[in-house]
Formats: sequence, C-alpha cells, structure tokens
Amino acid sequence: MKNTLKFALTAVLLAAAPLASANVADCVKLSKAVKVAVAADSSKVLEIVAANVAANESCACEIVKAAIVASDADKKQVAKIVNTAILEAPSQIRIIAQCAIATAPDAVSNIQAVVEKYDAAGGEGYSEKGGLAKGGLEKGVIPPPSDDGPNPLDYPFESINDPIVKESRWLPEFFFPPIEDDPNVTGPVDNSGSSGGSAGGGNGGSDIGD
Amino acid sequence: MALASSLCAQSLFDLAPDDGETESLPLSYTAGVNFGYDDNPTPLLGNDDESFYGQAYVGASFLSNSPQTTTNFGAQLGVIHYFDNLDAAGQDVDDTAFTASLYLNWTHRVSERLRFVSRNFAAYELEPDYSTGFQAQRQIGNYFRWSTDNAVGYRWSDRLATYTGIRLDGITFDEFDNGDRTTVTYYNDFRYQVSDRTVATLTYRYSDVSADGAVTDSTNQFILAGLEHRFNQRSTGVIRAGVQLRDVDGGDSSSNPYVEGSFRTAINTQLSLRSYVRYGVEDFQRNVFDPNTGFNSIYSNTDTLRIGFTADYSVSQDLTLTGGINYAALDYNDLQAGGGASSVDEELLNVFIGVNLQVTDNIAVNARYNFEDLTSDAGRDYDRNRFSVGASTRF
Repeated sequence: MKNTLKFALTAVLLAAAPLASANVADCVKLSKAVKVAVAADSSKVLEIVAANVAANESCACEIVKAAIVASDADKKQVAKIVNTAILEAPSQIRIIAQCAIATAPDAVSNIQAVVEKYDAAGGEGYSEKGGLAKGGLEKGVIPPPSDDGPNPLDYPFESINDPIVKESRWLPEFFFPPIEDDPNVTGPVDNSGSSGGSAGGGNGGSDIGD
Repeated sequence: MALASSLCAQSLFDLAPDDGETESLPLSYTAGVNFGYDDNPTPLLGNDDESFYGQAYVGASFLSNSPQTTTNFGAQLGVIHYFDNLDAAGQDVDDTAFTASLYLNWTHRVSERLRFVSRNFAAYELEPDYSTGFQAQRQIGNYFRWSTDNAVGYRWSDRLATYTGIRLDGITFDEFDNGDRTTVTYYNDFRYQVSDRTVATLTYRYSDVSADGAVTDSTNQFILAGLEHRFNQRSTGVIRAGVQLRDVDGGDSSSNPYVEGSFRTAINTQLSLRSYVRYGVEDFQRNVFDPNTGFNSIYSNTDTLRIGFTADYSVSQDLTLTGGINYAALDYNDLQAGGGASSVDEELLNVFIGVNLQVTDNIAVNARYNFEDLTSDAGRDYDRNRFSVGASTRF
C-alpha cells in the first residue's frame, strides 16, 4: 500500500505542468465587461474593441470573442472587429484571427482577407506600434490551420478553430441552438471615448459544478 | 461532492476527453458541509445498521486555456462521520473516514503536428463512483484509486494522426481482500479524419494486470475500430467496438466482444445530457464473498455491462436540477478457487437526483437523494437509501 501510494503520487507530480499567470482571471473579467458594454450600445462595438485591446493586448482574444458574440456580428462586422483589434495589437494578429474564426467560422473568408492584407504589407507599420514581425508569426504561436481541413489529433470538442459546418439540417432543429452566453451582468457600463474600459466586470468565474 | 467530472476526464462519460471549456477559469476555492441519513452504510454485511452522518470538504480548481496549452487542476479534502456506531459482523467499524481527490490534466500543442497529453488522477474515497467503471458495490472502508495517462500525438498527414501512450492505474482497498489491482496499458490509436465532423479510429491496447491475494494476474489485448462524430458544437458521440483477447494466470484464454461508447449533448442552454456504455471482461471484481455460506470464490472473468446517464437542467439562473442512473450487470464465470457456484450473476442499479440553489453569488444550498439496489445470486442483495442536505461556498 505505502509503495503503491508513493509510486502513484510521484507519477502524478512528474506530470505536473506550469500554471498560467494571474492574467487569465483579468481576461475573463474583461471579457464579461466588454459583453456588457457592447450589449448596452452595439453601435460602438468598434470603439469598445479598440479601447480595450489597446489597453490589454494580452486579452485581445477574449475581447474579440466577446465583441463578436455580444454584437451578433455578421460577416462584414466580424471583419471590421478583427481589423480594429489588429490595428491596436498587431503582434496578436494570429491569435486574434484564430479566436475570431473559432467564434464565427462562417466568416473565415472575411477574416482571412483581413489577415492577408496585413501579411501582404509585411513589416510596414499600420499603426504607431511599429507594424508586424517579418513572416507574420510570433514565436510560440501556433500557425493557423491549413486550408485542407481540421486536425485529426483534435477530439470532438478540442479544436479551437471549429471546422463544423452549420448548414446541415438532417438533425432536428433543437440540435442547433443559438450560441448564447449568460454573462454575469452587473450593470451597463459607459466606455464611450475612454481607454482601458475594464470597468465593473463579472463576479467570479462560471459554475463548473461540484 | 465529486470534483467537476467534466474536467476530470476520468469517467466513462469521457471516452473523448472533454476540453470543451474554451474559456479559462481562475483559481477558485470551494467549501461545503452536508448532513444526511444513510439506511445501510455497510451494505454487504447483511446487517441493518442505519445512521445519520455529517460531511465537510474543502477544494480548489483551476483551468487555463490558451491556443497552445490547456491545463486544469482540482483538489478536494473531506471528512465524513457517522453519528451512530457501525459494526461489521459484531466488530466496530470506524465511524469517521477521510477522503481526498486530485486531478491534473495537461495538453500542450507544440505545433499543428505534435502535441503532448497527460491526464492524472488520484482519489482516496469511501463511496464508489459508478461512472468510473471500477466498482459494482459499496465495499467496507476506504479505497485509493489512481491513474496517469501520458501520450504523444503526431499528425502524419492532413488526415492521418496517431496517439501513442502509456497508462498506469491502480486501486487498493483498506479493508477488502483480493480487491487490489495495478494495471499497465500500452496503446496506440490511429485516427483518420473522414470528414469535418468525423474521425475514424483504430485502437490497439495491451494491458498487464497485477492482482492481489488469491486473484491471479491477467493480460488483455484490445483491437477496436471506432468513430468520433461531432453532431454540432454542443453534441458529440464516440463509439469503439472490437475484440478483447484475454489470458488469465491459472485460468483460460478467451476472446470476447468489447464495446465502449459515450454521448454528450447540450440540448439548449438549460438542459445537458451525458451517457456511456461499456461491455467487456473486467478485472476489478473477480472475487465474490457470500455472507450466508462464508465462501469466498475467485473467478477468471467478470463479463460486465455498464450503462449510465446523467442530466443537468437549469430551471433558472439560480436553480439547477441534476439526475442520473448507473447500471451494471456482472456475470462472474469460470470458477478458479473457492466453494461457490460455477457462475454468479449480479445487477446493480444506482439512481440519484439532486437540486442546487444559488442563494447568493458565492453560497449555494443543495439536497440529494441516492438509491442503490444490488441483486445477487451469491446472497448478498441489498438496497440502500441516502438523503442529504447541505451548503457550499465558492470564492
């Protein structure tokens, strides 16, 4: 019993991986604040995205996803959101594009057109922040998937680039619910004309069961 | 009271590991207390003990999800105390039991071609979790169950990939003889992307089981073909079927059909369902003690069918209902030792329902009812009812 316990605990400890930084919690809160702000005034979604991405580049993914969902953006609007976010955080171009595609896969061609525009521009700056890195890929960032399709290594829920085709209707309608979010809304937030609009935020994380 | 099973990836519900939580969750702590009534806390002893009990626990959990690395972690410590004296065959049983559980899952996507996956779990528990497929009765005393599964995935072409790995797992019982097991499993999965929604799999597993006491060791080889299908963003199904080639020390070699499957769906934002099925020959329950005759019989094989369902329904933002069923049918056959019957059939039915009410942002109250019924050719039938009410906090 004792040897088995030692062996098992050692095996578990050896498999331990480094934990993420505390910024994760901030991005979750920021995401919820953006949802609230966009829901209050969807006509200002681009200003909200610009202000929040400029102040929180590391949370660009969560901001873009929240803006797309909260504004119920169509394909053109998704492209505008992506373009706005890239202008404010050009170093995050790949992350922004991947997250936008994961949230709005039917807008993939519009998103790729935006990315290709910046790729074609190469190292020339489109913003005061000095432009994009040559080659377009940051170290450690996974390149976007090829046009050949999804990754067979992905388990059904694991793909961050969601290749699911939504047009099929051979299943009953209730199998295709709208993607709804239930933000822990604390109240409308006025972010008009301000930067760093991380105000209010939600209370805690979502319930992950007992 | 179990850790968030959707993140554990350690149950029969998780044949395709659920990394569906795409948003990171900050480190959070939980604590709770429960008070309940158990009308049969020592069910296999044929006595009529019943008792009120109290339970307390603290826990922590964390999920980090980035495009390259997913890490989730959870831990829980608890204690349960029965207020009435329990006895087993005239001898006192500990009225207090400590429990602990821990999981750590990690996926690192080095590139589109290469990734590493590690899933680890350890638990020191009193009550069986039938959805994990390890047990079919409530034994006396605690048990310690652990597993570590580590694999490397490689994408050979646009459509073809493999996962190759090794899994170590084991279970030991504090007060149950012949129940300890240690298993080493080597496996390789071939995965072929048939379409955007479907992956076809071909799996080979070799497992070497070391048993305890009078139960002999065994080896099992599994050759399985399967499909993983994503119906939509909220519904997935996995099924694998094939043959199990089995060799038991001191027993016969055999080939048996084997199938495992799971299905999960979030029908809408209120209702989600999960289910599992598994049929095969298990090594976990190969001895049967008949309390009426006193015989302890050892069998080569336990042909086992396990089916389970669980559902969660959000009545409102604050009120959630949970319910589920676990069913196991066991056929002990090929008697190796002992004076029991040449074969024994048993069926376990476990049904549970619960309600959880969020009173404030951080405090919830809950109530649960759990029913178990075992019917057995070996004269160890029992039924058991547990009621509990409790409160918990998360911060």
